[in-house]
Amino acid sequence: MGDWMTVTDRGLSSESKTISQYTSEIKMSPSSLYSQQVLCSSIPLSKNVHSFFSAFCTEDNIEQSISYLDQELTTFGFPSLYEESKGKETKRELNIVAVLNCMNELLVLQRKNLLAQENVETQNLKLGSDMDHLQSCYSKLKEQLETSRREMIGLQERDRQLQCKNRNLHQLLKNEKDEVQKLQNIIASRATQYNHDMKRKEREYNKLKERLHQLVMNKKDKKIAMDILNYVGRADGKRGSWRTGKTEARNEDEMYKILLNDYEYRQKQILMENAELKKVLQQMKKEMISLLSPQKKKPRERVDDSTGTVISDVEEDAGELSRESMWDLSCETVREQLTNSIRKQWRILKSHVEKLDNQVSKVHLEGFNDEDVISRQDHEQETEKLELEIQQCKEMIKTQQQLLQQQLATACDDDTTSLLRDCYLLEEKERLKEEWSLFKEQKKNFERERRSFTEAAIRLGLERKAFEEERASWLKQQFLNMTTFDHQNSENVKLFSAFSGSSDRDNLIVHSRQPQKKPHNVSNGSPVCMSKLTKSLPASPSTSDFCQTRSCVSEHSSINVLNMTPEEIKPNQVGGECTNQKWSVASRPGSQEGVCNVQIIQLC
Amino acid sequence: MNFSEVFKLSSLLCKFSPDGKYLASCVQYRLVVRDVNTLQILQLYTCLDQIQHIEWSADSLFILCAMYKRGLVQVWSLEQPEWHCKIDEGSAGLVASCWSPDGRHILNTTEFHLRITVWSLCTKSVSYIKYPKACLQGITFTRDGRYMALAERRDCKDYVSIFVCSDWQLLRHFDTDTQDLTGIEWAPNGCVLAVWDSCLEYKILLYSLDGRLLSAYSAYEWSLGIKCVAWSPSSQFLAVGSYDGKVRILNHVTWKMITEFGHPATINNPKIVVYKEAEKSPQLGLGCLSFPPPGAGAGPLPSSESKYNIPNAVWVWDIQKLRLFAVLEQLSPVRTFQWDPQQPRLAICTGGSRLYLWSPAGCMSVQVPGEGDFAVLSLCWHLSGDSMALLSKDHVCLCFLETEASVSTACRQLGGHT
Repeated sequence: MGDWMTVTDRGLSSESKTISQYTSEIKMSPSSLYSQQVLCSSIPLSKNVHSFFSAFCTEDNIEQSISYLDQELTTFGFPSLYEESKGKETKRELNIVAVLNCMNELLVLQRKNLLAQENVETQNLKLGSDMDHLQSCYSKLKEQLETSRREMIGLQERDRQLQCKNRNLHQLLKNEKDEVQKLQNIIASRATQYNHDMKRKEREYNKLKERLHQLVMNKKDKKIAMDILNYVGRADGKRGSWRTGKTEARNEDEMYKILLNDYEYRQKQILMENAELKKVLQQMKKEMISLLSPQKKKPRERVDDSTGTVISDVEEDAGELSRESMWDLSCETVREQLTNSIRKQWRILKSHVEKLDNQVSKVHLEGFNDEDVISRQDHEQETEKLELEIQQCKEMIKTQQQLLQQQLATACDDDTTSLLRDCYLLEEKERLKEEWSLFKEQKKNFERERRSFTEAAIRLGLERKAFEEERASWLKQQFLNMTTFDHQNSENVKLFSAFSGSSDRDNLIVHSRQPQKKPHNVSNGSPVCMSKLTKSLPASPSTSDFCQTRSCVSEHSSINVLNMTPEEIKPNQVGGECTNQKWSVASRPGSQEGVCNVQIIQLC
Repeated sequence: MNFSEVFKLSSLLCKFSPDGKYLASCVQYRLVVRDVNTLQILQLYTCLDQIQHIEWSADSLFILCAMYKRGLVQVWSLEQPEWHCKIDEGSAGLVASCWSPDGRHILNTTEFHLRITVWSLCTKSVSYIKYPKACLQGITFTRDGRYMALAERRDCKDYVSIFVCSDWQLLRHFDTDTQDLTGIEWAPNGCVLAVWDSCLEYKILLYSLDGRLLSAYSAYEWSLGIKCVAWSPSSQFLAVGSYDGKVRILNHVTWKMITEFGHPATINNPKIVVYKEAEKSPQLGLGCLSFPPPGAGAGPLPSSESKYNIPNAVWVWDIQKLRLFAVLEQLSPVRTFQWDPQQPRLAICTGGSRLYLWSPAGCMSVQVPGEGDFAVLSLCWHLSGDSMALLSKDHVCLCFLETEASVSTACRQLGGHT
């Protein structure tokens, strides 16, 4: 409901009234705006009213306006404004009373209308508020409906759950019933079995009864006997023996023997199996230890514990190894030790493998390069590089081979090919030639040497012969001298002293006694030999020659002069005769020979 | 593979001699002994009544023919055809008869299992053993023939007696903790005796030769229990088949189960070869078990499926690896299967006219030739593994297998599926 504002300003009374009406309209609730609008349209605008008022009646058209008003009023049922006319054509006089009455009537009417309007407005407002109320009720009811619907759904859900439970319980019940049925079946089957047995027993019982009856009735009893043509010998050929206490004991013994044998056999089998298994376990343990021990070299934190244990195990092992023979015994402690150590090793191995797995996965995920762990990418890169290298190398080899082939199999003209061939071989040819020449030279040298050796050998032989002759003559002389002792004594002494003294003098004397001796060809063989004799004894020319040649011979005859033994000397370049003779010379008794012997031996 | 001509046979009584030289077969009341290689009739004996059971003595010198209806046992000698021996149980009746391992004593079980009479062929002595148990496998001899174990029942309790076969002296007598003993069996090494209870209770007991209880094993309670038991040739394993469709293997050291083999309807492992003759899936349960001979080398163990009715599939297990090796599914129920005595080769017959051979190399089936249908009901191998006898209702036929190499090539050629 709006609030009415009364404005007393007469000048703008109608305007202000209307304004106040309008303002009051604005303050009204929006629901009653419609009603107000209706009202607005019924009330014309103030301005228009004003203009209308002024426009209707002016100074000029008073009569017309009066007549018009009169007409209107009479049509509305009001009395006429004119006085009662005396005649038709005389101008009617305005009845002021009538006019005032009409005005009053109109005012009353207006007031009535206003009241009615007010009433209508209030009614409108009431209706509006009623509608509001109804709307709120409607919304409330809607909410209620919503909640009740939700409740219903909830209840349905519960109902469903309960139905489910119900079904489950039914199922359980069914299961229980099935089990009961099964048990009943079991009982039934047992019952049938019992019945079956009972029937069987009854049948037998009946048969027994019948048989008994038969027997009782039957007078002639069939004899129970065995009719045999002749008794057969025992299977093992032995005679039957009486049953005595001894046989009983024997039987018992045999039985126990059999049992014991069986147990022993089984125990053996089990022991063998045990031993094998133990061996396998030991092996496994060793292998596990060897697997884990390389870690000792890598200084890593994580592995420290395991290395520690590994080391301790290795020590333990060392101790155990000494007790190898104890493994055969199945004593508790050894067994436990073995199993415990195996378990320990296995645990270590397992943890190690797990660590490795973790490492691998870590590397895979994070991609960082550990010292010892190469990330897969790097590994792949490396392999790629290597592959490339291999490819390149292969290509190179191929090209080289091709070039080689080309070179070898080029279809040039014959000359060039021959030249080419020649030039390849030229170097070799030259080398060969050189070698040939060398070889020939050497051959010549060898020939020369051989000749010299043979000569030397011949000379040696001759010398020896001469020497022999000399010796023989000397001996003869000696002998002869011995008879003429006084004369020769001094000579002898001289001789002896000569021989036992310095070798030089000996040699000289020897020389003197051999006038017929052939002049020595001091063939020194190859110049090589001379150099070798620097180490030799202070020997006389003859013996020195002798020795020289000898040494040369020995030099040339074999590689190791010092290792020569009489048997080993091969008479290759020198006549065998000579060597023998040499040695025979050496073996002859006598101081002379002794000296020579010494010399020879020393040289050799 | 060669097949001989068919000969007449009755009651599936056809056995090879232990030394492999002869084949004995029965036709009504006649016993025919043939040479294995030539199949010529060497001896022909006539018994007094229809023969129900024949058995060779261990040294292949004698054959016993048992006629249960008349209560007679007749023994024939191969060396001396004129020799005869007749054992008449008379009023005592006869239900079972068998040789002792030395081949000189015959053990007759009288009617109603009243007693066991031990007749000696060497002397005039007769021994009686009272209260034997009436069960499937009440008598068992050790492989070396020294001892005999006998199940007894006195005053509603089970006992086991161990006798020394040489002089029939009682060595040990002990009671067993079983409700109703069904079977006993010596281990091949002769030192352990397996004793198992009836199918109403799963219990298997292991006794040492001197009567001590070594171990007892029970897989479960209440449901039907053990159906069959088999020792491995090395005595290392004991296979126990039960009604729950599983085979349990016990080891000889601890006598505890080391593994169990199930027989599921579907197999998922691609390594297992399944030979199918038909589309039908195998049924549950468990039938017979057998281990192959030791020459085959700790190899496969087959077991067949059965409920209380007939089996359709043979399952072969590898004992070295303790897993399933192959499954052979047949169209009709498997009647018999037997291992080749020399090598891991299995012969199966299903009652049809085909013979099935399986080896690790492959599987093959052969139609038995002959006019009409030769329905193979049973088979038995010759000692050498080179031949086997196929038994039908009225006939017997010998099948000569080629040498190993050619058989395996034949197997490969024919492939798996028949």
